[in-house]
Amino acid sequence: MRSYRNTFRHRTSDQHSDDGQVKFLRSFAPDVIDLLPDIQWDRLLVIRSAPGAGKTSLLRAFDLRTLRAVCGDLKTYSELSERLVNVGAIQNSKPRKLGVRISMRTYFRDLTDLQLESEGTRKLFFCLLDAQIIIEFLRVLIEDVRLSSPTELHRVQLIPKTPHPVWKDRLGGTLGHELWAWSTKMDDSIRSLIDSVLPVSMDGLNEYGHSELYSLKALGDSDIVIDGDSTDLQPLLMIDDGQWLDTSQRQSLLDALVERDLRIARWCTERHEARDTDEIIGDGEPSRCYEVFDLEKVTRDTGSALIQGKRRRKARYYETMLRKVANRRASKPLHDLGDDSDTPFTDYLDSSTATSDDASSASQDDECLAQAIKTISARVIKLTQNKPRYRLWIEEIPYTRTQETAIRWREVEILIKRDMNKPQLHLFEVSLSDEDMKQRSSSTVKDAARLFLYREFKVPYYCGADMVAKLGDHNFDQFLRLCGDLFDEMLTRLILGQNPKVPARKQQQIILQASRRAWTEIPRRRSHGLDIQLVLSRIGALAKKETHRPTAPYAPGVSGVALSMSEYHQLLDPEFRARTQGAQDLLNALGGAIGHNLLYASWDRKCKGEEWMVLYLNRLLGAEYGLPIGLGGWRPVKLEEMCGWLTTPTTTDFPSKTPAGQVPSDNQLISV
Amino acid sequence: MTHRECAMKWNDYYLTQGGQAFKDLWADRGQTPTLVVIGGGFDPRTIQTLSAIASTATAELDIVRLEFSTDIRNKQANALVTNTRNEIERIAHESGTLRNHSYPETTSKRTAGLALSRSFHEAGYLDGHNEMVIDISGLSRWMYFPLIKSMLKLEEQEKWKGDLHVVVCDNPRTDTAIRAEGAETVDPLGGFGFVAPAADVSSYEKLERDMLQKSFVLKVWVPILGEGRIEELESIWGDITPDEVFPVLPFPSLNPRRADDLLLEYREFFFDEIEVETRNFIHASESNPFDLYRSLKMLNARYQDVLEGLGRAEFVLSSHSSKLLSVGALIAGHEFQMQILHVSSTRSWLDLDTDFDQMQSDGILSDIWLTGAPYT
Repeated sequence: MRSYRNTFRHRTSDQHSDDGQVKFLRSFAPDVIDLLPDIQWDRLLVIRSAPGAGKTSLLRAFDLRTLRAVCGDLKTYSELSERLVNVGAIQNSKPRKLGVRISMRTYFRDLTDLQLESEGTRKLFFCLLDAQIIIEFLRVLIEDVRLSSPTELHRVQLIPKTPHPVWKDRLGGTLGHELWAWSTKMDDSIRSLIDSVLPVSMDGLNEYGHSELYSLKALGDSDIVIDGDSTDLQPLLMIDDGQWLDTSQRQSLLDALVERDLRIARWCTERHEARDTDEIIGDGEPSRCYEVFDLEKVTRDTGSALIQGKRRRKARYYETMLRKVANRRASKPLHDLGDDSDTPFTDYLDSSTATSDDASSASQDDECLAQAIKTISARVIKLTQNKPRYRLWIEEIPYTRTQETAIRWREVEILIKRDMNKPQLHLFEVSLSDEDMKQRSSSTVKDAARLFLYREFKVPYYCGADMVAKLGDHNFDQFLRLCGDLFDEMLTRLILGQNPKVPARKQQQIILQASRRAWTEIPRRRSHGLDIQLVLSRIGALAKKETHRPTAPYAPGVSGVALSMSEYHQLLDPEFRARTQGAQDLLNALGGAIGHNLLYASWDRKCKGEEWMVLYLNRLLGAEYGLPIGLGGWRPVKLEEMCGWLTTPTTTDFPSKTPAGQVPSDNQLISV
Repeated sequence: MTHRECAMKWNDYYLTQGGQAFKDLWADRGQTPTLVVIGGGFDPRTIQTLSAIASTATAELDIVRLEFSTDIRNKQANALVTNTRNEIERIAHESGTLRNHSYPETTSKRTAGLALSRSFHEAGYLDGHNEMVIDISGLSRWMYFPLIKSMLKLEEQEKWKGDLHVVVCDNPRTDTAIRAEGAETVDPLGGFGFVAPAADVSSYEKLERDMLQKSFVLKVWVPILGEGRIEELESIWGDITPDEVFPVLPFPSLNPRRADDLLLEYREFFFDEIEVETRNFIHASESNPFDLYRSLKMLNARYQDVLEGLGRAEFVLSSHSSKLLSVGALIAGHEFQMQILHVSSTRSWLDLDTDFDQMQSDGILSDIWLTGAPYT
């Protein structure tokens, strides 16, 4: 039987097998490397993002195995190799970097629960990390073509560039098998200690402790020699999942990694949640001495920078990159399923072509538009009865049954209502001209009109390739999931022998389902998820109310709320939180939501003589509430009111609309 | 000898199921003073198991209640907890003594489980007892996995030669009714994180073997499936990205279509996302943990035999199903050195439509006798 698997859902490119490696290389977007800051290999780079933004994939692009694969087939992977050459990871068609990737996921944080004094815990942490770095370094070499068998480790040697290095004794020697023996013994011993289910003695732990990370010196200040020949490989230490470290461990690690005399390249990835909640909310690292690469921030800035014509050399429009990723994923399966047209996936989402392909959908759209034009025009004519002031505006609207006409009617209605709401300035009403219309309207008013048409007449708004890219909201996982849902529909159409174009109405239906799913998943996926969902649903409801006011005062709509900076500082004050009901839950919820890209925070925005922290709802979540896709306007909210959201849930909150969401009231929470 | 030919510790096992059989067993075993470990939370199933033992045991019960974190309970939940605790205290008053073991202050549930197990042994509850019951009905996995593991280790080290019973009032409906918030923290359960034995590098040959074992590792993930756990499965997959996946479906089961329903529920994840081959699905009896244990033994042996001389397979288990099946994973994880992962939630709640009365009366009592008389 023919397989119709959806390539957007494949996660097997994460696997380390050969098959996984090939899939990774096929699906990786080389453009991401363009987003990296100008790499200074001697300085610590901290890569930070919400889960799913692509941190680990970025690190994997610098694995020795990936570099070898790219060097082995420069033609196939030309885009990737070009970028890897540019950043210095490949030189003369050979890998230059030897990536040593360590995950902080397990064990390290457990050390803090061994009840040792803090210095002892720190030393044990460094010792375990040293051991894992050395093991991984040797494992990479074992896997590399130069060592066909692990028993050949004696052929490897680290030749120190300086005489009598301290690390030599601390790490067991300089030969491969000596390093392996020491590191595996330490790793086994410390992990056995941590994982012991029976009482353990802490005596003698001092022999394990490392006061510094000796492996950084060992790998940075030595030549890697195999069979007596020096290699050109330069280690690149990649610490992954830094968010799992305890706060003091994270600080110790950063302190160790920022040392300027280190000669090893080092990167560290972490989720936003690695920082304390008030640091996330505060976005504050005033005294940092390392480079921070904030993936979401960079992708947002890249978009706007391009519009302004800056950084054109280096950065591409983020949405274009996403389109390429999607088209690359879909190309082979579309072809395999009999679509020989070489039409890219994103073209099948193009809203203008999608509506015309499906007969029933096209007829439904036509009826919708007819109804919209009929209703709105009647409303406008009634509204302007005996008011010649608007006659020219109405006369200029074409007599066609198109979406553009419907939008124009709705736009005129908004502008008329705005004009009518103004205080009467003229004794005699002057007829408004087409020029007045142009002056008073804008693309945002047109967008608001489109949004109103969607709300009132279900004319598709959430559709089209650009829209899908924007709904990804700077997160690869979110974007790929959405594409996966749409690709399911394309596959179904191909199986039924139809054109894979997805009608706009169907796209919208799929997108709204995805939005609802994203909402219902929040509690089960995220820590403090219940509170996050509650806060976001209040923001959504408030934004919806403001967006759909008849005069569209914040066109195209409202997509966020704002807290004044003075109240935001109040929220960060532990004493305030201790005495204010709901404040601690609010802080946790905001921290979790920002950390997971469910809210986008923008600080120090000036408005009406005050400074504000603006919180925009994730675009996909906003679709559930019919919010505009761009960063719309925002409305201020008092801190007291926000705290109250957590203490007095109401029936308008999101969970009440979805029984399947199974979200409890506060009094059902238990300790299990 | 190949791995397949190696003897299984629980090849012949002792499993008692059903209310009357359970009581009959404890009418016999309850003639000597017994140490009973229970959970201090809301779960009403704890009352069922304890009252069944207390109603037939003639010797005194020494009950140790493992306390839970108190930071979440309130209102209705608090009333449930109070009700369960009062009932336990009434039973304990009539049948023996009750001691409370405090909740350890740690940074994670994983280390809390480890600390709990260590402090349990340091407290000396075991002194003078040769009959021990661990009732897992009201205990979380992160609590009972390390504790049972510690008892198995003591028995292997011949520091304790008593009879260990793991008892449970199995009620999949209650398990399903408990919902969890947050599926971000994936950790190995205490005692089940460390896979390879400590390296013995006293000779070059041993060093070579160790290097061989650790340098080529095929990661095999065996999730034991239950309903409504997609977030947990996705989290674990993202954490370990295994080379092979062998999902376990509960069959035979009380609901004969349960395995099919689970396949439908997880179809997208297993077939579209991580591309599991259909032949990889394993069936294990819903009500017999030793069936799962046996299947895991065979799977492990097959892989280790094939990889002998090349490296090894590293098995990672995760239990998303009933407590009864979790015990199968536990004993397999212990005997075959498999890692067992667990997704810790930040908070939990009960389904809105939970029938609390039914929860207190439903369930099948099981006694899984793990060490002692049947095995000597």
